Amino acid sequence: MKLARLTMAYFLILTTPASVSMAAEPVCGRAPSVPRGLAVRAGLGAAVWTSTVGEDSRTGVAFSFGAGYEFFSWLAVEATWSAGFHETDAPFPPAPGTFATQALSLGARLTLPLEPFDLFLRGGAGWSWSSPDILVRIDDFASEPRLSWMGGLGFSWHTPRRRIWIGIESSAIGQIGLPSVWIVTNAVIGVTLL
Amino acid sequence: MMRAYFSFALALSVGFASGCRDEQYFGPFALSLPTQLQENAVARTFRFPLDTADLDQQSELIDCLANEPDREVPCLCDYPVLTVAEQDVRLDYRLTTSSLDLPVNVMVWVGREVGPNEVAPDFFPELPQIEVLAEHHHQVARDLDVCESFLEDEMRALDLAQAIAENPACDQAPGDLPSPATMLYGLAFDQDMASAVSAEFTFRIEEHD
Repeated sequence: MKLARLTMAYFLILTTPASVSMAAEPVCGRAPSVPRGLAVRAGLGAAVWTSTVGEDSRTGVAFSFGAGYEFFSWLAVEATWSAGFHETDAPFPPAPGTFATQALSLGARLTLPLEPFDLFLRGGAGWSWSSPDILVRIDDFASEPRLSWMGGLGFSWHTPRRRIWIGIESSAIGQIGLPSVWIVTNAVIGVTLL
Repeated sequence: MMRAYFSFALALSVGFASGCRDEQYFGPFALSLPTQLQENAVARTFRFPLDTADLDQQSELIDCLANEPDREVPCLCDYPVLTVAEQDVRLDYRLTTSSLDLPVNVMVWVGREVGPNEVAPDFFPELPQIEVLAEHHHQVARDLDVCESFLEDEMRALDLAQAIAENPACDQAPGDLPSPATMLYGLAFDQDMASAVSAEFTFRIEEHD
């Protein structure tokens, strides 16, 4: 009996620190360095049109706002609003002017996490429109929102400041029925909130 | 850092401002002289676009005209489809010629068609019912296109003058006077039949609430 008690005590002495050590291991060990979850981002950069619209317009300033939720480190769903402003470079008339192109896209992002970097591809669909309809020589250049597709890629760097990340991303957005594609490239800053 | 924030805010505000402006373009509309009938003047009618509110107002105007034909205050005063202050109009145009001779003298004009009870102004023999309200004169040479505009201020002034002249019984503020629903524009030659001139026009209309 005494031997049994001694054995039990010895077992406890041996195992208790080990148990504590195991329980504490996530705190002292290497926790996930890149938080994943609900994230918002804002970007500033440039946009350019290709093809016929590109022939009649110049590269312009662009910005974007987005929100997404990362279900896993490799998969997220996102919503993005992008806007860009282009001066016309078209035959007179009309007199030169400016038009704004905007796009609202919903889609998914596939990420290759290489901590602290993420490489990603994104794709989705939404609506895009340009206003005013100043490019009068292009038949399908209309100011009403039209269905559009979106594809993009980029990378981000999760900074030492936890939850803050920066990156560069580029998206191509095409309206159904319009052969020209709108390409937006932005420097992005993001925050992972949850 | 502050400069970056400022630039971003500026881009954002410019974006919202230009993206939300209710601005529409129409055209390009082509005219050329001489016409197929060898006339020296040509005219086209542009009908201003009407939105839902304008169409509602137009329905009320039609009802008023049908129900109260002998009204003391003309129906158009109380139910103007378009008003002077409602929109800014700009007419851009480009003139070209392929003539190898001397530069061609061309008149670009905007105007109106006079009513059946008005005296025909007879600006152009080919278009006796047209009154020219504003005109630009150009010399067009080969490989030297003319790119010009009837600017918003000029168009507003003639719109206001026309509204005052056509609606003497209306007692609204000038900006609330009825504005015509159509406008005529065109070209006229300087009697040089050996030459040929082509023109392209676009209308820019900015609506105000």
